[in-house]
Amino acid sequence: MVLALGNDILGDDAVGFHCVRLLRDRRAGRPGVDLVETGESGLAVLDLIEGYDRAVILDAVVTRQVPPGTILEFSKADFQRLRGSSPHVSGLPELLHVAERTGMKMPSVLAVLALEVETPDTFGETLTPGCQASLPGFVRRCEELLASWGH
Amino acid sequence: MSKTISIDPITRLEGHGKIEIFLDDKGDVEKAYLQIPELRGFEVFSQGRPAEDMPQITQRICGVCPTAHHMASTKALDDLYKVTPPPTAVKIRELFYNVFMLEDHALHVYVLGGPDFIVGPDAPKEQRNIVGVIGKVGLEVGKKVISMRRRLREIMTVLGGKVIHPVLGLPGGVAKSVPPEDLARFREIAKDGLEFARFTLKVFCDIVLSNKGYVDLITSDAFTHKTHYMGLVDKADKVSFYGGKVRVMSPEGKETDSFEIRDYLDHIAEHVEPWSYIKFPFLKKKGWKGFTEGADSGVYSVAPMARLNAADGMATPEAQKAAEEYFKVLGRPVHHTLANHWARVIEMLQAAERINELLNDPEITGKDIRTIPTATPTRGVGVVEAPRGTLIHDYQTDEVGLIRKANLIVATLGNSARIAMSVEKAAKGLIKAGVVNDGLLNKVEMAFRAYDPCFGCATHTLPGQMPLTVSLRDPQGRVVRELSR
Repeated sequence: MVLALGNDILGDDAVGFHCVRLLRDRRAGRPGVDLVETGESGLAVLDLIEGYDRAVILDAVVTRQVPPGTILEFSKADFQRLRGSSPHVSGLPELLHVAERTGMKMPSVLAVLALEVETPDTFGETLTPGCQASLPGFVRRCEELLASWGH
Repeated sequence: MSKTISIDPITRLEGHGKIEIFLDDKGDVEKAYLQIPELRGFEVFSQGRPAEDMPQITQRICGVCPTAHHMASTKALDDLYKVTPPPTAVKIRELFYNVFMLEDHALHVYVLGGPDFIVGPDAPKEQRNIVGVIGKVGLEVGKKVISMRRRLREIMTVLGGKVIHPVLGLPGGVAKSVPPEDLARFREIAKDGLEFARFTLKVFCDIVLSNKGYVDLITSDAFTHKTHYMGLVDKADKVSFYGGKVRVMSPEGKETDSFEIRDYLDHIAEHVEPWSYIKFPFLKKKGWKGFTEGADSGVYSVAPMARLNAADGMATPEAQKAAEEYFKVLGRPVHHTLANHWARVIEMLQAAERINELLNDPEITGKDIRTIPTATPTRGVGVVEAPRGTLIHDYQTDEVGLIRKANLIVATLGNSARIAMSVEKAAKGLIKAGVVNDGLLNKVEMAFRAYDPCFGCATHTLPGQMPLTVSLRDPQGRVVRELSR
């Protein structure tokens, strides 16, 4: 599955949604990949990805450590390494750990693609021009990943 | 040389925040405050939209408490169109809302704020999270939390169409009645929900209250402020999440104000500081007298501890019993910020009991669920107790119901002054002559994590992106030293 996280009225924060919508058009008629948008986080994300063999999670991030438009990628291996890096993050790594320990069936392969954005905090239903320009590359990277999984 | 210390961002909160600590020339703390990232453009975004779209739009503000916004907005529409929902509709809304409260509070207790206590404030930082909670209380508990949450959300899905961004509330009622064929299943979930709340209270009592060190920490001066307390109460002046009048208690536990939400502007005003874009709501009758405690100060507090202080008691029997024990141990009113964790568990119990009451009420499956609005709209105000405190939506429209102005007083703002005081108190105790005590980061965080502040931002939970850093800045704002982990 491809799962986009974000807020659809907070401008660039919705870049994952825009990506999924484009993927939906481009993949029309090709089954095998569920394309899902959600405004939720945390435990609710586990409910959404449970039962899938492989999942890509799309999100917008603001690290200010890389230029806007940069795609950051994380894998499950990163999660192993990063777990506990900060005492107060209830992020995906911890939640995945909890899910697996409690017997939920989590994807064996999980990738996170996060696009660095500048303005995820202004209400609006469109992307800023810079983010819009980065969108095709974000879509392409997601398609490459799906292709490498045989989709 | 005066310096600024920034702790940015605050992790394990819903959304992101940043703490700024200003040092004076001696290196002692001059002032400290919490900076919340501003979401811009909501006014412009909402202008000209049909008012009836607001329950759908405002719930998108936050990925964490959409239901609170949805309900406050729906109630603002009732007021806007001068329409009273039929009793069944009110009960369905209340059912939906209490399910949300139970689920959301459980999330905080087990995942966000509670780990500090369940795992222990002095436990290694790597363990003070949900993984640590499972380590401490057992894997079965983790399974229970996940499964309970999922089942509660089943009820919300049936009633609201979906959990996130429900389409339940309409001006004058709700969109869907409770399907009689689902009632037996709902009651089963409700029964288990009550068991779950009882179990959570037991976990809290066994781990926290039986440990003198924890109780000492809760009641310590560093985490104590004597402020006013605000919360919604029902007709019997008991804690109410869905509705009622607003009641304000003084630091001595005397009622100092009580009003219908429509009149809130006569009772609440907002103070602005030059160093922050956060507004600090205060009690208008008392006036703004700075970040000060006491009966003369206009500073008030919201959220679980404040709600329990503002009411005469809990609205359900088991929660009432639990609250009596709470006040017996901590005194009344309770002024200890960390007591919010305990009050939250007591509220879980009330929510669970109320869900059971409502599902056993013969009216809950009634079909009269809507009063059709006919009045010409002008202005509407709605309020609920969000998990994080009193949430107010205020809309002004033109005669066809298009939004001219939308003002939201979100729950976390109700605590903004007190949070600033908590952060400052903790910082003052831990920074002397420019020496930053190692315990600073966690203690300062603990001081406000108890409020369960929600910054209503987008919900990013990627790994590694939320490191905790402390920046010391010189008077020109340059970073001269940075600590991070």
